[in-house]
Amino acid sequence: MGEFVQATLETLQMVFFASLFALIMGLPLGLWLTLSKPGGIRENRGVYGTLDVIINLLRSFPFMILMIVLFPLSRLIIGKTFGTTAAIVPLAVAAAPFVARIMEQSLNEVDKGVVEAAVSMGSRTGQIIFRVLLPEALPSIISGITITVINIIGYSAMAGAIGGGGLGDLAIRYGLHRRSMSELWITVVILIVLVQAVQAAGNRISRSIDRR
Amino acid sequence: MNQGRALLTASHLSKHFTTEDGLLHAVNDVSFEVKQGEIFGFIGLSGAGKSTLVRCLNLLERPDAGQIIFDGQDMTELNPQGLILARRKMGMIFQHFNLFLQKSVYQNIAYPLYLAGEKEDRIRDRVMTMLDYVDLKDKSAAYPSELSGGQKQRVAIARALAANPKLILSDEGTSALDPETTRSILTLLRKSVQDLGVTVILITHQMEVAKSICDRIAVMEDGRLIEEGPVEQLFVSPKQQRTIRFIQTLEDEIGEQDLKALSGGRVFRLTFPGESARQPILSNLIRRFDVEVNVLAGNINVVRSGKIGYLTIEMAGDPAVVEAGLQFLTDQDVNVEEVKHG
Repeated sequence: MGEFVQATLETLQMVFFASLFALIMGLPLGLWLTLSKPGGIRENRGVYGTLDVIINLLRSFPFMILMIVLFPLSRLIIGKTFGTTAAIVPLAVAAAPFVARIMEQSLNEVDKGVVEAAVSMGSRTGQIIFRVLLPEALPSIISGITITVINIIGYSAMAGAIGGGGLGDLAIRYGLHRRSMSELWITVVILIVLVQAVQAAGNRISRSIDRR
Repeated sequence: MNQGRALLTASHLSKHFTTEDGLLHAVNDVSFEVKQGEIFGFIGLSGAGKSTLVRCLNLLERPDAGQIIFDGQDMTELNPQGLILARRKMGMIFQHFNLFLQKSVYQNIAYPLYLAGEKEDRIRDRVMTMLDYVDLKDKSAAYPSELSGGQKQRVAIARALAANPKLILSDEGTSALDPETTRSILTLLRKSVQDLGVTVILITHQMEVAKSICDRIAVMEDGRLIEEGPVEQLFVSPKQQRTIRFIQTLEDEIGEQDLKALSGGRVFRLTFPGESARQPILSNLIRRFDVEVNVLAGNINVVRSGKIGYLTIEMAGDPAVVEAGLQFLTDQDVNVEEVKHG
């Protein structure tokens, strides 16, 4: 029993910090994409093109391979390549470009006419971003963050496979190595509950703030 | 009102876009002047370049060439900071309202006041005044999704007027509204001009809108301004054949090709301005001259300064008598044009 509690806590820790760092990196990146895209309020084809390619590049790595490729980075930041904290590095790096795309998409959903109205009234760029773009896109951004967190829960189980700890690690040890199905199912049920809880919370928050 | 000084002078404005079909001259060497306190309308079919033109005025589109002097400043020469400040002296309303959907009615109207750096209590006073002005006092806490189209446009007008701009730009501001709501919005705009001394530049493809609210109208076609003048003049005696054709198109009258003479006579388009629209001129014509008259089409337009009647008739008879009849009509202040057959 204690093993499951321990593994769940490890997973929660991985997911929480990986999500946090993915958002810290990804949200500004997505905003930058939107502002610099052709027709954006700070149009810059060079910046947009570069970001676009980098994000696509990072997103085309299969996660398992990205983890291995990022071992040196994990060692640099955390000091080791295995364990729960070390797994946070590749998880955050893998999720950040995903977050950037989600953010870009959410901001693109804001009616161009609404942004134009803000421009026509004499808003500065900062005012457009913080007073118009972000508030208008917030319900959609929250939904996007929900999807991100759920993705990271899935990835974190994979991270367990190569020494990341958490529920994924537990599932592999019992299910794969010892062929003990009941423990395997328990981890699956815990993961399902986690995903459901995150999705329900995300939906609820997004819906409660959406005035459309 | 025509004696007011110029608030906005545009000279030789041009804006082109590169499209798949080549270069599109959306605005082609357009010059005009709008005086303080007037309602100046641009009318034209869709694709005539009106929208691009109005968007050039506050530099939502940067013109390729030309000058826009607004309130003594050349808009095209301003640095970004100057442009932001100049835009705060203009309000804009849009066809699809463009309200902030996640902000309440109150917050929408407060936004330009926040931009202007007003204090909280001053903002509250002003928003309440504006809500009262547009008759939406009970909707302060509502969100745009809870409002009807007309109410949304009222909020947009309140937002546009909140920070005391000198100029309101309307980009098809009534095109998405039903006729009754359109009338109430136009009344509100007219009232704003009278009460607040604001100047309005509007574009529309709706003849009714232009006729009922504008002091002066400019007609646009293919990016060019083909004729401008006071509303009455433009409807009664347009100088350009293209304007006449254009007005006819918009009125959705019977096309000229359908106005074939029924009994071999000549076809004329008569315009009865003001007083003469109420006189029995046509029956006088028939009584005094030996001519056959067939009425082919007719219409009465209500403009701000009165009524203007249009009649397309066929006149048959002795050529000399027909000429005399035409002279009679001209003497009665009726504008007569022969409808050519092609």
